[in-house]
Amino acid sequence: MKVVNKKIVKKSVVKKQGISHKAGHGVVIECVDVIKKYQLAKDKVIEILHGVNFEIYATEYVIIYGPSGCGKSTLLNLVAGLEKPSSGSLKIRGEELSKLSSTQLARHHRTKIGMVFQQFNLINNLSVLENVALPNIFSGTKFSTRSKRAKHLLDHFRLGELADKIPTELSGGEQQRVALARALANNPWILLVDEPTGNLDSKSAEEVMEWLEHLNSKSRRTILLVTHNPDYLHYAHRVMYMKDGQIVNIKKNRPIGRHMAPQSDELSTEKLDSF
Amino acid sequence: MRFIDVIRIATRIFKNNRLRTFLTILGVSVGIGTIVFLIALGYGLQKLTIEQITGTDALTALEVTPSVGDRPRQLTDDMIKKIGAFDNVQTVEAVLALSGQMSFGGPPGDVSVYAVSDDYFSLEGLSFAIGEKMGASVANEAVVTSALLDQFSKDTNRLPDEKISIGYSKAGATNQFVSDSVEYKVVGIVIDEFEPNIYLPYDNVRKLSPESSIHSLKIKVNSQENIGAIKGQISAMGYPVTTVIDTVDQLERGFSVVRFALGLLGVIALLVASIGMFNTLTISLLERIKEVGIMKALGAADKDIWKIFLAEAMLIGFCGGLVGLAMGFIGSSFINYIYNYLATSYQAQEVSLFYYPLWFVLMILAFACLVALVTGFYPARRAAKLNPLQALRYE
Repeated sequence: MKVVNKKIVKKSVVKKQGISHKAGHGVVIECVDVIKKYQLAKDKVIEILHGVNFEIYATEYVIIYGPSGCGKSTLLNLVAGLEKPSSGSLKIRGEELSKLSSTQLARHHRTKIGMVFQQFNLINNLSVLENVALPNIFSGTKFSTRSKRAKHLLDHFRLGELADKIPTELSGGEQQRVALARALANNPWILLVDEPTGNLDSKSAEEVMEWLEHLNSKSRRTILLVTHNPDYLHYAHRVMYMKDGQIVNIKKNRPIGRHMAPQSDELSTEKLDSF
Repeated sequence: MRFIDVIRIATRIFKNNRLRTFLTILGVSVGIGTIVFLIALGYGLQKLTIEQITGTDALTALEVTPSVGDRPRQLTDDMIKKIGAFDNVQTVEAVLALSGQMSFGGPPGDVSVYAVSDDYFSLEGLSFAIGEKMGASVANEAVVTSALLDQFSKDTNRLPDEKISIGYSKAGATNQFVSDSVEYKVVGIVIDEFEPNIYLPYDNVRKLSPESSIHSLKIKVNSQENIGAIKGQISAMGYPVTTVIDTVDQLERGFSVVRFALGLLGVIALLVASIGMFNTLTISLLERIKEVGIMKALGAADKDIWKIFLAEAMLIGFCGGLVGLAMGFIGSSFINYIYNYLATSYQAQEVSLFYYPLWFVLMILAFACLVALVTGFYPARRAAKLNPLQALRYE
């Protein structure tokens, strides 16, 4: 497994060949010279990302850290396929995202990635169980199968008793855990997490971060997390520092495969990918 | 996405925003109900009218009248024989029409006298309010119209006890009357509010008035299909022929105009309702933009979103159609009840003013769904085309 730990990047001059060719089969997300521009008015174009390059490896936990407005959420949305880059290449497991049709993109959302948002984004007129089962509806899973799986996931996140409640009856921390369960409904290998702790008190936030760490270390999901909170950077294998639409620094905390010592022994150790 | 899940998600409209869903369905129902009510009224009136003027026998009957104009021709006994010999002709009956004077023992009054055979009533499609036609072999029975009883100030709801003495012209329209020695007993009353007619046995009248020309011939054909051919044969002989079918055709044409006009009113009501429905669907989309964003981020394809929104519209349309049918049915039954209540208190006949052919009921349901499809199409497409990211940020 390749690690690009010594790559301290100034401006946006990461050489393409330096990444993609050495990468091998371990690369799950590959981002080359990605530029994102928005047309604000007829004659006003704003460039949010000025040519971003990085690779993320299987089972890696990467945090993109930067101040508000630096373009980190935009970058995450590009990886999620919710937006297309203005130029450059973005591949998930070798598949170029901008070349996918809308149906293929929908399948990409469904099968390859799970998303977790700052605002939880649960649907408030569906029950907790139905929320978790929702991604399975779009993949055409049978009602009984998806309900069973959703129940299993909720039990895993110790939310089993809340299954029939509606999301607004839950605390923020519980809601974010429901969102985590939902992100795993289709058993994706990549989790894209956008400011998961932004709306949480510090205790719930810590708990959610522990769960994410757990998902990375125990069930080996690749995680790309975006935050402006420096408190959680130690969870990641690598931290990419972003400023003004560029990755300005990449810091390696520890090699892939090595994990933090569990901070809380309350967490279940059963494997999520067992179902 | 499975069809059952589309329905499952779409039926949430009955759980959330219940009042709004209910009101939208109500709007569509009122539109559909109005259409059902008005068109069923159109059909009902048509059916009623046609039933009033025809019996089943009348549909296989032809009427031949003397030819007037350039080459006038009388109807003769020879003709009766000739026509009677045609294939498919069952009976040929002559009718005499004379002017006459009659009384129920009191002061006399002018009436029209028809000399007819006992088949005449069914061939002409006349219906009896009370009683029946005269017996075939009884020579002292007569049938009168309700207008005639009115003219003599008799109760039209029962057969008069008094016998009729009558005289009528010898030939056509002269005022020289010969008295009929027979005193007639009224055995049936035909519904006719306008013409004071008395129907007497043909042979009686013919005996007393042998010179009078035949007013018309009633021809019974064995089946409705042969009407056209017989009509052609007689027309070729130079006599005008009419059938009830001609009248029925004309009536049907007339009623299709009435139905169209009534239906148009209903369609306007439905149009208003569908604008309301469009408005509701658009607002419900606006409220759920974020939800669409979430669904798309979780892997819903554009097509899935489109299906969900269209299914909601169709659901509203279908329910609107069902409730509308029920409303139309209940409304028309109520009006019919009121009408018949008033009718019986004025001694008129009870009738059904409304008529629903089965295909019409099914068509209305299909129509309601079609309206929903058209109305829901644009909001559903808009929902499907939403940019997921913008939708997620929408508050």
